[in-house]
This record gives sequence, C-alpha cells and structure tokens, in this order.
Amino acid sequence: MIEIDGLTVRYGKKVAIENLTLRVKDGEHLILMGPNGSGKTTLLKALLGTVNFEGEIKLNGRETKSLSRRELAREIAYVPQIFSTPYTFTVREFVSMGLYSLTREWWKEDARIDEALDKVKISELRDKTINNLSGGELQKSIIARSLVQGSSYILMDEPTAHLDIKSVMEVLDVISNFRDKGTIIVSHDLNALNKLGGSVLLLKNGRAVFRGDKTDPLFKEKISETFDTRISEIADFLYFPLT
Amino acid sequence: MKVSANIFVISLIFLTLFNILVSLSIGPVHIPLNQIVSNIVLYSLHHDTNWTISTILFYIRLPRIVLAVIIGMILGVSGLITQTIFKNPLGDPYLTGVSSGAAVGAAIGFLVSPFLVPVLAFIFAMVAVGISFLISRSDGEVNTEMLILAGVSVSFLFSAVASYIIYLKIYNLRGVLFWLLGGLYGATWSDDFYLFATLLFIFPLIIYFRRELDIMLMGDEQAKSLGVDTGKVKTITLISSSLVTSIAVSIVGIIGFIGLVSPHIGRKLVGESHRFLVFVSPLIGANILLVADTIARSTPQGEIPVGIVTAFIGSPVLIYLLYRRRKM
Repeated sequence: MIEIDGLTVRYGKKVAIENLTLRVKDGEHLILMGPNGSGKTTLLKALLGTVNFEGEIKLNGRETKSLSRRELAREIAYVPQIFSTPYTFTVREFVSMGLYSLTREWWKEDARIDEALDKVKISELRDKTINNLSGGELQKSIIARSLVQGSSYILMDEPTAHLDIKSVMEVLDVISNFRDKGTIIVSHDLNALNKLGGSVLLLKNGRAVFRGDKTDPLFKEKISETFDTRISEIADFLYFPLT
Repeated sequence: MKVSANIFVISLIFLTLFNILVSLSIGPVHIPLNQIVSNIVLYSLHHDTNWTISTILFYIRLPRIVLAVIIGMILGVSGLITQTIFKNPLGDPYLTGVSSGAAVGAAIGFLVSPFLVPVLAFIFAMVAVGISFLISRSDGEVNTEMLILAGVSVSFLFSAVASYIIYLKIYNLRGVLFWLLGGLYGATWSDDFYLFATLLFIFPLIIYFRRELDIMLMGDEQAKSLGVDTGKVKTITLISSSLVTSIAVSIVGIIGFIGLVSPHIGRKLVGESHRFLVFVSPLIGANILLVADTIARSTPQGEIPVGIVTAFIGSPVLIYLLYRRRKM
C-alpha cells in the first residue's frame, strides 16, 4: 500500500504539487493524467525520493524518507521515458543493473534475468548491445530491468511515448500482464488507458481533480475540464476509422 | 566480450613489462636486454654484478620507471573517475582545480625554498579543490554541473595568482616551466613508496565502486531509483581522485593528457563497463607515461619536460579517437 498524505513539492517559489493525498493498493494499476506541468512527473520523483517534499509518503507502512536508497529500490522500481544511449552494455548487463539493490554478485542471478527477459518477450536480445536497440526493444529492456528489481511497485513515465504502433501494443500487453505489482503510469495515451484498465488520477496545477474508474460518468466531465477541451473534440480526435 | 576483455587486460600487463625492459635499456648508457636480465637475476640472488650497470639500473632508471608506471596508473584511474562522474568525455583529473592550485603552491615554493615545492603544491592543490567542492554543494550532495564550473572558475583565479608570482618574482623561469610541464627526474625509491601507497588507496576504492560507476552512466535519476547512493559515490570517488592526483602532482608536476586519453583508449578496447576499465585505463596510463618519459629523457637536446611529450602523443590519439567516433 502506498499512502501519500499532504504531499507538497516546491521548485523555488513555484508549487508543483499541492497538498496531495493518495492511496494506491497492492497490485493496483493507477494511471496519472493531466496537462503538461500538472505535476505528474514530480509525483513520481517524490515517490522515488529524488526531489525534496513536505508531507508524508509511506510504503507498506514505512516512511520513504527514513529508507536508504537501497531499501527504497526494493520497494519501488522506475521505468523512465526511453532515452538514447551511446553505451555498449549488452541487454543482459543492462537488465542486471536492476539487481543492484539486491545483490553485488549479479552474475550469479542469470536465471532471474532470463525470467524477466522472457516475461517481456525479448529473450533473443540478451546479448545485443543497448546502443543498437530500437525504441520498443529498449523500452522492453527497461521494463525487464524494473522487473528484476523485485519491488512491489513500478513507476512508469510515458512508457508508450515515441514508440511505433506495434511496440505500443507489445508494451501495453506486457504491462497489463503485471498481476502482482502495483503500477503508477504517467501517460497521455488514452488508448493505453483503455487497454490497461485500473483507475485514473487526474492532476491539474498540482492538485488532484479526479480519482476513480474511467467508466465513472464524472470522468468524462473532469477530463474535458482538466484539458480545457470538449469531450466530443477529444472523441473525434481519437477515432481513426481503419475499416 | 568478457573473454576478449580479459585478454586485453593480460596483454596490457605484458606490454607494461615489455616497455619497462625497453625503457631500462634506453639512456645515455645503452644496456642490452640480455645484460639487464642477467643483472636482475644476479642481483636478486645476491651475486656480484657489474657495479656501474647495477647502479644505473637499480638506482637511476628503475625508480624512475616505477614512478612513471605508478603515476600513469594514478592519472589513468583518476581520469576515468572524473569522466564517469561528470559524464564528460573531456574530463581530466585536474578539472576540480588541482593543477592551478598546485601551480600556485609550486610558484610560492620556488620563491621561498625549492624544498618546499612538493608540500606547498599539495597544500594549494587541496585548497583549490576544497573551494570548488564547497561552492558546488547543494542539498548535501556534490552538484557535478556546478563542480565543473566551480573548477574552471577556481582554476582561472589560481592560474592568475600563479602567473602573477611567476611573472613578477621568479627569475628561474626555466625551472618553473619545467615543473609546470611535469618531469620524473630525480625519482627515488622513497617517491615510489609514497606513490605506491597512494595507488593502494585509490585502486581498491574504484574496484569496489565499479558497479556503481557503471550504473551511474545511466544518469543520476535512474541510478538513484536502482538503489545507488549517488551522492556518496560522487563525494567519495571525486575527493579521493582529487587527493591522489594532488599527491602525484606535488611530486612530478602537472603531466597533462594521460588522465584525459587513457579512459578513451580503454573504452575503445573493452567498452564502457568499469569491470574492465578500472584495470585497462590505469594500465594504458602507465604505458603512455612510460614511453613518454623514456622519450623525454633521451632527446638529443637532453631532458625535456614529459608534459610536452604526453601532449605530442596524446593529442593526435585523441583526435584520431574523435574522428573514429564521428565516422561511426
């Protein structure tokens, strides 16, 4: 269980998140939506402890501020937005970095690495170097790395951004099969929302404006309010008749 | 990958030994390789040896060669740490203000008493580094972007002070210039001993942190989320590398290019993983400095500062590596 109470994050004078209270249950999928600058990524950073904050964040009853980096990494894994990398680590070496908080003798944990690669269906990329991967392959490698971390939660920042349609479908398929892990996913992708299920948290100007299921009638109203756009316009934009 | 990297490490160790033997034979008195080997064997068995040759080998050339190897290794390790932590391919161990600080200390030393040069060089190098670190602390952590800028600013200030002293007060310009460009002349076994102790301090440390350094290449945020205490790793490795570089500089002066080029050559050979780089980069540093020093002490003009030779070797190598990278 993630318990956030009275969370406020400031960057200088600017308030990025204001007095946010949130609960995320074990195994729950939560999708964070909101306009640019609404505080989505900042919320992830607060959970990861990479930004100073006021208020309290508890993971399974323990306050995150009292945890060491290693202890925190065992609770929460992070899938950043895909990045370009010049480095020639193999996928196996890259994924093994997820074992850092668990063991120093990572090379003895080949079985775990293989299992994670298998789960995200990239076993054949094992010995390929990460500078030669496509966007989709790299995204799946990052997800595999977060899986070997063995944490109860995974935070994802735009996991489907910059990917082609097939990769988006594959990545969403992988994520929707996470049964035992709670996930908090920042996404602008309404298709992702549809595919993944779970609940939605709408943020606007650092405040939560909606928390609930996407089938909730209030959701449509709030999403058009949050993005300052009529729902019919969003619907028109989304429909792309292929047949 | 792993097998070939191991082969590179072993080959570099043999290359170092080979270069040591070659360097032992080169100098005003040419000593053929077979004579070197027989002298070493006889000397180690406490048999009588040719006194002149033994003195040249064991009291003049070998201490200096060992010093070149150790200093090269220290610069190779420190350069690697700097480039990784700053994620800056132009990082060298002097980046935090070591060289200009040492220059001020040395200049004052030349003014007061040449015997004080090493001590003052070390003290002022640490002062410059200390100021850079103090400026760049934020939230109890070293901010690496700030540290680069702080290092550059502090370097300008200290260089100005050094230039002022040298320009107005020092008449032995050649002596100062020689020190500033680095030289391994006058090396003794006690220098070797101190620097070896220094190497024994930094080397296990970087071997211990090799995994963290790999992960930190992915950026601070990812490293933190994977459980790396990036603040601790940065502070410990950067302060240690600045410390050992200052010690090295205080004894041999400011030898450029080795710390900059060695990690680049290492990466070309074995890739970015610090598992191998922590061995390869210092071994390359050792070989470059060994060859450079052998050249520096045997030019027709007599001995020239080794910094000139390392720049002559290092600069084309760096240009070649950058050119190769552009073509990739």
